[in-house]
Amino acid sequence: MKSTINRVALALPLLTMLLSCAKYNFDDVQQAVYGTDLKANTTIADLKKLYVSGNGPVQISTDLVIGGVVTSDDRAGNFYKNLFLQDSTGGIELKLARTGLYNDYRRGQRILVRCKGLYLGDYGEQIQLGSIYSNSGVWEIGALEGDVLINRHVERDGVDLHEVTPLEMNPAMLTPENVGKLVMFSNMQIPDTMSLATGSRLTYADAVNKLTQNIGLVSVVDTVKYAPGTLVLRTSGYCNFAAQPVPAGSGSITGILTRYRATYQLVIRDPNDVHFTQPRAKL
Amino acid sequence: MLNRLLKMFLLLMLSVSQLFAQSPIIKGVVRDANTDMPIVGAVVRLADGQMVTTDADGRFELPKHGEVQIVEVQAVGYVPQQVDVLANGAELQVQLVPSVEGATAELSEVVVSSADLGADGDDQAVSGLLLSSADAFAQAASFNFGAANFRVRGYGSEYNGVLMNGLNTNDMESGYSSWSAWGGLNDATRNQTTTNGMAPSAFAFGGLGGTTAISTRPSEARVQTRLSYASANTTYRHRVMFTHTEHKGDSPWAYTITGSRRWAKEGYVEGTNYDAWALLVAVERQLNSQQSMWLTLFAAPTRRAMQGVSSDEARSLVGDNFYNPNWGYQNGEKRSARVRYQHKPTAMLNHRWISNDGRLVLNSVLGYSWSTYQTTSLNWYDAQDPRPDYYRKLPSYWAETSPQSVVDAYTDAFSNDAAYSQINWDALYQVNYGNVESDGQRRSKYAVENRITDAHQLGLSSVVNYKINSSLQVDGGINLQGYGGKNYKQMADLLGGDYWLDIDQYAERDFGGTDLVQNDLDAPDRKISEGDNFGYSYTARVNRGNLWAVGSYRGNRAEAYLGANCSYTEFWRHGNMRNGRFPEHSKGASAKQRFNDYGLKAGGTWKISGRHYLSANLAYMTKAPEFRNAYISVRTSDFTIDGLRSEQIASADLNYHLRMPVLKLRFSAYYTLFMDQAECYSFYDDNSQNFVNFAMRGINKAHRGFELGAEFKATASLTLNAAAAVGRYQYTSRPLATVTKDNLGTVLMRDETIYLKNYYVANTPQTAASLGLNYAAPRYIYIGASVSYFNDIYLGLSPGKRTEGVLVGFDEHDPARKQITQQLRADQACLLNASIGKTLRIKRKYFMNFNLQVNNLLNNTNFRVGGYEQSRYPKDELLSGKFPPKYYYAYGRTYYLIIGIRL
Repeated sequence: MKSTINRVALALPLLTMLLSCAKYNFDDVQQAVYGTDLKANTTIADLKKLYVSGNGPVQISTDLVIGGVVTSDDRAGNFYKNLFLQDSTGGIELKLARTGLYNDYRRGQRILVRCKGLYLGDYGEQIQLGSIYSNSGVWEIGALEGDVLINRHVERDGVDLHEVTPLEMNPAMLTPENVGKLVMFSNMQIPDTMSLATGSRLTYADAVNKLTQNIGLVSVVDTVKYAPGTLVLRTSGYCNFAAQPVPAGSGSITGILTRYRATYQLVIRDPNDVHFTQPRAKL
Repeated sequence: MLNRLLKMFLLLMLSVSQLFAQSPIIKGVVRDANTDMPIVGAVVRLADGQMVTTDADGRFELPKHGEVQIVEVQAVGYVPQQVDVLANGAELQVQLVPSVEGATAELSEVVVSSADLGADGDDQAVSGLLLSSADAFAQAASFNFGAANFRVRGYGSEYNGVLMNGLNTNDMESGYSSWSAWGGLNDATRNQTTTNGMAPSAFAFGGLGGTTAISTRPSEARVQTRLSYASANTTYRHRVMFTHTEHKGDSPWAYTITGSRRWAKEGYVEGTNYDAWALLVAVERQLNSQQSMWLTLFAAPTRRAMQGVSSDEARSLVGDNFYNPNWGYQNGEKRSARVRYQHKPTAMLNHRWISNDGRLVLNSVLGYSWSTYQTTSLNWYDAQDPRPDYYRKLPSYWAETSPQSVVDAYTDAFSNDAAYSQINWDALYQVNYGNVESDGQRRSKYAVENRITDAHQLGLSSVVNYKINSSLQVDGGINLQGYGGKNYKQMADLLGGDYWLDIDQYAERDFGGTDLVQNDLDAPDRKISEGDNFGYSYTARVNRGNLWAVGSYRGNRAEAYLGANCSYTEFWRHGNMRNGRFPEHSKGASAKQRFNDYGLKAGGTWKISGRHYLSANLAYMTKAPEFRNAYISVRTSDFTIDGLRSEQIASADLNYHLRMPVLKLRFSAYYTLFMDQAECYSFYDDNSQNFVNFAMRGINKAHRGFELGAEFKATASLTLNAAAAVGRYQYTSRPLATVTKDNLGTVLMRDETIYLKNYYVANTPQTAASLGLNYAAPRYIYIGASVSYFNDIYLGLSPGKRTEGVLVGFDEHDPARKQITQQLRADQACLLNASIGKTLRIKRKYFMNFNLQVNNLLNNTNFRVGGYEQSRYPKDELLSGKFPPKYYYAYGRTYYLIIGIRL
């Protein structure tokens, strides 16, 4: 009896080693492919036509789906809680209330947006797609509320990145139809590289006070004229290149075309969008 | 006629001899109350420290010097008893009741450490401190009050000493008791001697709250071969344990070997688990009639996924007070972001020498341990907060301005979809996969890092006990301890990425790409792979030495003692990395902090009669600060806090003891003052948008109250017990704080007054009471039940919220002031515990026992046992409830079932 018990006593620890234990080592998650059956059934240009200004945000009540490529990038901080997507007909600002959008929706990512339940609105006549929020009792256009809502409306289509070719601009193309698109201006320069306020070299924005700054852009080609005040380079004081001095040369500059009323604003993703590699022109 | 005369004469002689022969010996027999078998190796102790163990027949004999009223009988696995010595010198018949086998000791393992849920690195393990004490209050406090994190007299565990084989085992960096080093070795560590309160003992000067001395000496352990299996539903679910102790009367050798395995695929709380092994081997050789040496080796590696604490909103959305935000599904399995691994292999060599006349005893021990203590944690760079209960992911964040449909969407997602209510590991991996840098490599935005302390500790202790004569005794000793602990972090899992860049992201946000962002200036912008050390690295060096002596007098009517202690503590930080923000103050040895401390203790007992005693204790001590509390931002720099000095402690208590055969009672009143303490808090300050360090000094506290413990033997088989503790532990000063920005050490506020006066010490019930019964039923069944009541549990405070600056804008009579500054309290609660056990004898030699312990029988899952205010308090959100307090809840109904067999 005792030897049996002894044998059992020895066997038990061995048995327990075989019993299931807690798990601490996990296989990596597979990389997602973002395959989807969802397809766009309208264009960005047509969607924008649904918006009639003056009566506040307009809700989209039908099962409209738009598709496009992400052209903006909040990595450097010049875009905040929004992204721009573009298809063959135009570009639109999609307001999304989260940061680090570039971690999940990278530049060049194809996305589809289920628009039913979303709202179209405008800010300074620039059309925006998003949600609504209560501003002291008045509903205004706002950003889509965090991941729970974003995941219900925005879907990624594939992992490949498709960079959009920027639209070459001239003064005649500063039109509402082109607002929201990725654009490029050639042969431009910044007229005043010294700040009138500080008396020192002009930087992209006011990094000290975290203020957004508009800087005029002019063409160095005689025959190309942008009326003063119609085109500015707009940069946020919160971006990570706000304190960087603006380049003094001339050349091409790429960015997202936005507008505020009568002024068209170019918003760059980061300083790599500015190719002022030609010498400064005397105007 | 002659016969009758002879008989009368003999009778007279006998009675006269009994009258005059104050038998110089106390003798008795110790048996198991259930089986009536004699207990071999039970320890029988007198108040003057004399001690013997029972022989193979369970018998003992002790010479009696002077008036002796009580003997204390203890045996491993039994409830200790105090037995009255009979006036006629008759043999004592001691019946020891088996303790709820193992369950009482188990409680120290299964009760959740409240600090599991709190700040990183905290491990104030709830102690099974008072288990072995025969004091009714102490038993109730450990058995019934543990569920509510009751601390005796409100003292932190750094004021209680835990000695293992004579060596102090409190953690050298934090001061906390560390029971987990020998978790799973219950059978070998059951031999405990406990002193309660501030009186010194024969083996240590002691702190404030008592000392527990554990001995693994094989010759004092119960001879047995035991195998047990336990099933539970607490932090672990299964335990298998075996123990074998052997010491034969004629052999100079004795040994113990014990081991256990504890595990749970998932514990009581979802997303927690347990994986532990333990082994202890102790070998003793009696060198001669006076000397004995024994070697103890043990190791108890434990790995477990830990519980987390969250806000009430998250809890109610998930519908579970034990909602654990630390885990999420990965490939369909539950993965925790917070896994702790600890292992402290230890070797101890003990030597005992006793003089020929038995009056001088010398106990020495040399011990060495090396340990690792690791905790994993999620880290992220320039990416969304991955914690599922981050305030912006809850419906309340959107409730103010968004349409109801949005709030409903969040409520629905959090309540029903684990992708939102728990960590979404998949999303973290996808972000890492997508973050391809210009060189084609993936830089991780999310990673799991492991914060590690690897330590070596050497200790030497020697205690001498000298019995000058029958009433005078001198005890004293010397302790020396050296410690070196390397604190660093290691990359555990890159979550699909190829590397992690070793820079400080908050410094990068504030200072751009300068030297300031570097964690290691000697290896800037290092790409970290899994297994690499990074971030910070420093070694804590702590050395301590102390000398103590206590003289005591034991007379017939009175006892008194006087003791003194002096100690030397030195510690310093040796930085192993040159930090970019503090290049001159991070790498290399820092200045040595040195403290000389002393303590004085005095007390006495007045025996009013054989049944009524009155005792009083007085203590005054200074205590050096702990390494952990001395540095403002220990990972990055060696700056110490202002006002780094020893704290002072003054304490007094008055005790009334009643000792009748059927009723034992103790009533105590105590008053303890702590002066000049210092504490350092770190948290994210919304108002300055920085991590700040809040170093407070000049903290004074007063702990005062009453304790009552009683044990009433109603019948031979029914015992009733009662315990109550009513105390008030409060801050009695307004500390001064120096607030610094963590990233550069810039001083934001100096000597800011913190209005803490009269606030309560947090996270322990200041009122606790219990009533219980133990019944020894026929057929070796025993039943126990108790009901406990808890109240006055206050929540941890955020010191920053009690500054003048916070109340600017709220005028004096604004009720909002009270709302901002009041201290939160948990509701009162009642818990019901019950136990049942049975012993079976098999084939006259083997014993099998079954014990079932059920705690919180009524499944009260709403019992808040503590918590803390959040430290974030942006000025515009003081009243909004955006950062609500976080509460810990006591487990609901839990059980512990042990089936054991003794061969």
